Amino acid sequence: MLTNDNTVTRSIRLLIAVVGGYLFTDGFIGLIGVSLPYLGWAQSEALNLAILLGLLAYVIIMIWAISTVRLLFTTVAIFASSAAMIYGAPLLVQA
Amino acid sequence: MAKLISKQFRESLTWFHTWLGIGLAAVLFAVFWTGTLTVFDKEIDQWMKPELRIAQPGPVSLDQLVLPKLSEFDPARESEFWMSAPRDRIPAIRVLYEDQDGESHEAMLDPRSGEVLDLTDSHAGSDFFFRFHFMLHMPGIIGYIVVGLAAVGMMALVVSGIFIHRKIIQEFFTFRPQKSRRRSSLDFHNLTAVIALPFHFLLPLSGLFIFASIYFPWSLGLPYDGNARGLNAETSGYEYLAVPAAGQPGPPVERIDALVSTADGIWLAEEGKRSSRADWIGIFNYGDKNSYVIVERYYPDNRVSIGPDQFSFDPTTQEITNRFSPEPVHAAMNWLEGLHWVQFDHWPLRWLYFFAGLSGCAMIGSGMVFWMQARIKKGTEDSVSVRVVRAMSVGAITGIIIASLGFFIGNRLIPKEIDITGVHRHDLEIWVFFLFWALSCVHAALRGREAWKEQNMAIMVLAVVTVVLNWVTTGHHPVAAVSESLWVVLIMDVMILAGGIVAWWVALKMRDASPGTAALRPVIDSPNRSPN
Repeated sequence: MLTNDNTVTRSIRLLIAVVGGYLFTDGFIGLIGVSLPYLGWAQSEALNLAILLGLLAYVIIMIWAISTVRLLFTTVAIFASSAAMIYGAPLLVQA
Repeated sequence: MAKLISKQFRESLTWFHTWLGIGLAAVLFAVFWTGTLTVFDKEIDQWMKPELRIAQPGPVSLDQLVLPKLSEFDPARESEFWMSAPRDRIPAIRVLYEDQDGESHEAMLDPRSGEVLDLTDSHAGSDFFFRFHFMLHMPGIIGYIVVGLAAVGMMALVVSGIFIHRKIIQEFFTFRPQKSRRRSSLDFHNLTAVIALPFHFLLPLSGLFIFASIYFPWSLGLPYDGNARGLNAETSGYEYLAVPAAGQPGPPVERIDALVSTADGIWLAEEGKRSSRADWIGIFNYGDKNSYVIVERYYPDNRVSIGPDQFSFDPTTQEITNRFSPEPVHAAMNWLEGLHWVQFDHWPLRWLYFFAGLSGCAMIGSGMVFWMQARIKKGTEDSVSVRVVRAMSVGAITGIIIASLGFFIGNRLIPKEIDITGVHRHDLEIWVFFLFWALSCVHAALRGREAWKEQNMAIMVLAVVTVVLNWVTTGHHPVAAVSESLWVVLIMDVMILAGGIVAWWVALKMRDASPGTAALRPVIDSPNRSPN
């Protein structure tokens, strides 16, 4: 384990992994799902690809949150990027 | 420096793997176990609904057997009416419709006479085990969410497991049953994990994909004004092929067989002899002037992919009016979904799925045993956490197996005609399932270390009871099963007995290893290799 890790830190890591991972994935799917149609993709095709990549991203985010040595940086990075995608994706929805 | 980071990385994942594994083990085992049984859900249906034990019929004519009965079913005007000819694993004609009161029905028709079969009211494999696999028999979407989180956890466990065990190939060929129980349970955990590694990763992934609209309603609804089902509607073809009802009565549909031949002929021309045939035929806008027929292949025999490939027909002119085939990424996703649904006709592969599922069960079980043995070695066997995890493991592993056997026993003992006001027969069976499970959990909590052994013995006894009850209540003992070609019944009996024998063997092994000896044996350990 990381030298200064205790039960509280581990719980925080797990929480960030699950909740942060979910928000990141949801934002990611939304962003990719509405962006790819600008490149000529059919809507359903864009979303299907987004789900697949999003689920893989979830696992990567989880592993990152668990193993990072810079917990604060990782936490900010995950939540900030999730927020950006969740805020940005609706702006890109085509009328 | 790089080495230091990699060591830290591995150690943090070790902690994660251990505790997430213990936390999710019970749910994952339940999902793996019911998923494994669902591989043979249609066969379990035949076992639990003996009226379905019909020898495989030849080709049947839906024109003669189903269409004349349409008025008997009395489907609602402008509703959908679905039918499916007998298939390899379902020897009856299936009919799905909505009646005048808006209630949905499923009927099974005898492929010889077209009569509606009076089936035993049971949720059996394709309704109970199947649904339990993804919603745990919980209300609303709670079960979906629990299973979804467990599935993401499972993928993370597989990835972290690979990082922890750096010498994974070497460990795969390592099994030391004569070593301490701790050592051999870890070897077994590694063996069962690696032997089906792609399976253990792809199945949770494809499972999450199937229910993506439940798990990610916000992002999937984004392009569809918040309707998360929009994607399903767009990719299923029904919306694409839809024709609005005219609101005026029209002539009944009289010919289906010819439309099926037309569709099959086109697929044959496109794909050659190994092409898959139509499986579902739907009449849309039933009874309306604008009624139309969709002939689709959803669960193709000869491909992994599932998903609609459809022709719509004008039933009066018999002409094809439209066609829907999936687009490239969607086709790839259909392959991923098909990988999970296991609907193709390929018996060896089906058995491989079954054994891969069992290897998943064994992986989870041996992981829990290893955790406990490691605590025993540390001398913390009597701590509360060890006792709780032990009771949980027994309840989760042997408990659900006992519950499943209880479900079969309840199915054979509850009379077919039982009539209790307000209670469905199929619910009684499910109550028996949960009753057996609850009893196992109580027993596990009370009996401590002895519970493993005793419940394994109980599995053997219940397995024999289950099989004998089948022989007594249906008369399909092995001789009858062989002479009537009821292979499904015979093989299911044999598998239940084989499972019982394995459980008995495990129980004997546990009796041999008298309590505490595992902890006293010398353990040769290299510090790098132990995940704890």
